[in-house]
Amino acid sequence: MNKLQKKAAIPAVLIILILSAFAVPSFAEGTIADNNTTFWDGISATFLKMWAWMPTLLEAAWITLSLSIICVSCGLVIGIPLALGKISKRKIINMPCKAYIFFFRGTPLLMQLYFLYYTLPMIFPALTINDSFIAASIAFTLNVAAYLAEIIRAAIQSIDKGQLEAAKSLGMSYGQAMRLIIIPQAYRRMIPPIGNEFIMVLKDTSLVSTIALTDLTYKTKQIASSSASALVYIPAMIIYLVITAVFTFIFSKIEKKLSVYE
Amino acid sequence: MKKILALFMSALLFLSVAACGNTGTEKTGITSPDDLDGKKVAVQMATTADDYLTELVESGRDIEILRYEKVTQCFDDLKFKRVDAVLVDRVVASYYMDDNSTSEIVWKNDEGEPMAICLKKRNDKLTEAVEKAIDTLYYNGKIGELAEKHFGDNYTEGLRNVTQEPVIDKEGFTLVEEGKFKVGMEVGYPPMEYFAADGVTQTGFDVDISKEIAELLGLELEIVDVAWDGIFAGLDTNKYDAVISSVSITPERLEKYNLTDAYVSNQLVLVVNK
Repeated sequence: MNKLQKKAAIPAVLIILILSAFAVPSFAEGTIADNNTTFWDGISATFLKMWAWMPTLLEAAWITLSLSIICVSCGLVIGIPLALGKISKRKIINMPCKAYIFFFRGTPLLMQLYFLYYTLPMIFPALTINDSFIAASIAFTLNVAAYLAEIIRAAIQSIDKGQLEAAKSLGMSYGQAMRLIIIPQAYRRMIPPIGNEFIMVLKDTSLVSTIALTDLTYKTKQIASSSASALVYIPAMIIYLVITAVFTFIFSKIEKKLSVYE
Repeated sequence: MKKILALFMSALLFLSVAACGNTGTEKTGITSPDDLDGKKVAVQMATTADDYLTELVESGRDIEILRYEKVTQCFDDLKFKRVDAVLVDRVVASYYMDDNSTSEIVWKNDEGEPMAICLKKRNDKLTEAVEKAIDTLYYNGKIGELAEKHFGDNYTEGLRNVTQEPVIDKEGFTLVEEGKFKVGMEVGYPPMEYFAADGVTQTGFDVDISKEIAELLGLELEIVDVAWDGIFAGLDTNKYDAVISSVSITPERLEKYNLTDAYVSNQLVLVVNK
């Protein structure tokens, strides 16, 4: 076991312990509900039940995952110009950017989603979005862009002023200094909060279940109601955890790679 | 760099506008569930309408089911032409559709789907008392009045024939909270149970029935507003004594819970755009 594996083992063990604490009473429920003769029969029956839901849940998890990836990458594309716009000293550029960020950070995501899906078609029938995946992607992208813009702005402004002054004294223009000196240093600082934002988005996508998009939460709720068993939340939570763990790992790798010079 | 960015942004804008294009559905020609292949149908999650369609899909039919949390979302979707049809309880459909409505009922399920009050298994004493209370409402004709008031038609007629005034045994039943009759309800299913225009007052057929029952049992009524897809889980975990929330009688529910006899009749209807 190398150092990294050891570090990863501790949270993994903790997660398993916590989940088993949740699970034991439900195993007991399995024993009672299905008239299994022994406690161990109940446990194995419960495990089989949860295992049988996995394919459906994984299929739905794919929607959750692709939605988060699309939204964060599109959000970055919109977020970068927004951040630069907010830093800009020209009012005509920074006012709209500030207004955008103010609006999307100041209203709940669920309401933005409902606004796009239900209110907008009422006012402008031409803007009716038929596909709930597209509607969800647009709503989430617009929202995520506002948060990412703030993250990027903070990262850029956190770079010491001396860096810009030094670059200028070497004869660089503002644009050159930004491109060659400031932004490369800011990259490293924005990776952890972007990773954080990604995980937040991944969990926030559970909101799309309210507009009948078959994401992981939607499928989980559907199974819970059709099987009349709340046990399904255990495998669903494990899937969320696994996805989060994978992306935490990826982001920490990127961070390490970028911090070679620090 | 700026030019590339500008180009990219405008392409993105164009794409998103193009994606918004309304490719609304044409006149569907749906007259019964047999015509639903390849169509989109909205239902409320975990309702009998959901079960009905799920069964059709499991038997090999090609129907896309969109399951929503609130029944109002189904009708919004129909209005925006995102779905071709809505499968819903008759009482609800009639509430949403008036004379100048843009949708119409094209099919009614011949199999009636009476509704009952749902209580915890083995809570027989309370079930008996509630049953007697409904009988009383039938005996004094109160339930018919309430049906007329909320549905404009008496959907309770002929379900029960009570000729003798029932005697309610008010002693000895198990309650979640002493002296209180707690009722789980998904308030958001007009005209059965919903919030009045002021957004605060709970009203509807089931609300009035609950009030009458609580009064007959000599208990204080407390309505617990919960989401439909968790309503039976709430009963399982002792959050309330009964579910009075347009519960249709199904074999699965009969097996898991104590259901009273039917107190109002209902059937599934298929609603499409005119």
